[in-house]
Amino acid sequence: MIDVREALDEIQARSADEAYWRALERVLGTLTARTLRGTFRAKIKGDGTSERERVAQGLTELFASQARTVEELARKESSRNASGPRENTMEELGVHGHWVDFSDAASEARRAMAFVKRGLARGAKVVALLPSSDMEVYREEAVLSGHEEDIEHGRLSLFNADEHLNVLKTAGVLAVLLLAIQGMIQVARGQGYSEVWFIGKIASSLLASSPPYQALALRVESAMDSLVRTLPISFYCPMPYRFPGDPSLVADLLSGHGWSSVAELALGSFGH
Amino acid sequence: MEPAWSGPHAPGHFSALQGWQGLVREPPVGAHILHIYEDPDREIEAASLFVIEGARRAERVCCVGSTRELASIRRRVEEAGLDADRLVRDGALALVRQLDLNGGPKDDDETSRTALDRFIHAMFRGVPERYPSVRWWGNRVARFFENGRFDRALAFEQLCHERREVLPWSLLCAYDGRKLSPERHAAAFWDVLRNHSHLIPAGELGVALELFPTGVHE
Repeated sequence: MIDVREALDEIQARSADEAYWRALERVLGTLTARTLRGTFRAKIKGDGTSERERVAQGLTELFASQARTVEELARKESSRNASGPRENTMEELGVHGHWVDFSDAASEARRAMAFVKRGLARGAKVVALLPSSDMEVYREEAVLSGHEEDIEHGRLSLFNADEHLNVLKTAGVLAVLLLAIQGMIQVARGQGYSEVWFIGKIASSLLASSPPYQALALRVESAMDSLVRTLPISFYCPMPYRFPGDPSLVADLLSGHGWSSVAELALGSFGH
Repeated sequence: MEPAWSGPHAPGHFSALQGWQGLVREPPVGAHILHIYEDPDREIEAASLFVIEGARRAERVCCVGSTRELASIRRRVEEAGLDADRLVRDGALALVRQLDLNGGPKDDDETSRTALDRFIHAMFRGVPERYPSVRWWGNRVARFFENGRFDRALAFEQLCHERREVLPWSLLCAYDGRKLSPERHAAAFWDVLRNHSHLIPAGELGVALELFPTGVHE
């Protein structure tokens, strides 16, 4: 079993490293930066030295004081995307966001309401793709949070995703789910909504299945990430603190998300 | 307004970085600039600025590239109000597809020392009597590098770099960043860098960076 709370330090360090690589790519361009990283990997030796330290050393040799550009940019990127109170971050979410929010089962639906509130405040249609077992919990939480009228008027829609989960588990076919999501976006746009905000429990349901469908869950997240980049949507994926698998699965899961949240801490990452 | 090149940067200050346009417009004598682009339009934009400014300053300008690139540069020269035909006719502007200005060897031998010596000799004809200095733009050598023929590419870059302080010229070498692959080019990339004086990277900041300002440490 993985417990993401135990991986918090690693997630934060990864977030800082990614800010650095992104800064390097902003200065040098993506392909040059990647080639240069390879150059420094070969040229700058040192046991126990991280790749980031080696690259920083190599840049200093190449550009002397100008190398600090990357450090300064990375600091800016880090501060812009630094860990912060989850509540604040949720209030600033915009379109093209992709969140994974780790929590215990008891507080999951309540936490998701912050996403619902933010989406509705932006005038978006909010669609929750849920297994049938979660439908009532989310409905109750939405009503408690004052969204009963939003449900009645279709601004907030709870969609039973059991059939899609079955198709995924039995046939491993993503296309049907993706077409359904694109259809929902088309319908919402036809209704005059400029954005659609999705709560997606597809991946977490696959991970919670017995046996767990880890590869399929990652494919779903990757596909959602592609949709988020290109369509006027935001995606929020509730995940349990603990789920079966090895620790590398956490990194793979996070790589497809722009943001993650563990407990009350929001962590920036650069999956996009 | 784009920032102008103003020599050495204030140490370590991010805001002190200069835009690449200033360097290309007015490169220091002996500058050997490595331009890595990921957008072909940027390649032509930099080359054209380099050429147009050189022509306006009555420097001799030589461009070595493909037919398409040379045509784009020529068009930009004309759009800038310069008479490209006259410049070519007078010898102030050379637009050639090979380094063999005098019909010398092609392809593999193009970067041999003999060929390069001949090329440089031809390029400097009229200097300093008619032209105070020479500007050279090219992307042909990058093709060798992209194709893994590192010795060919580096032979040229090294030769130019060794002579940059003794000849009144400035060079702008365009490399296609999209062709760089970490697996294939990373090891040799260091040698390309250390044989140039400045880098214009493809990043979104649009800056120019001075390479090895404190010297190359082997």
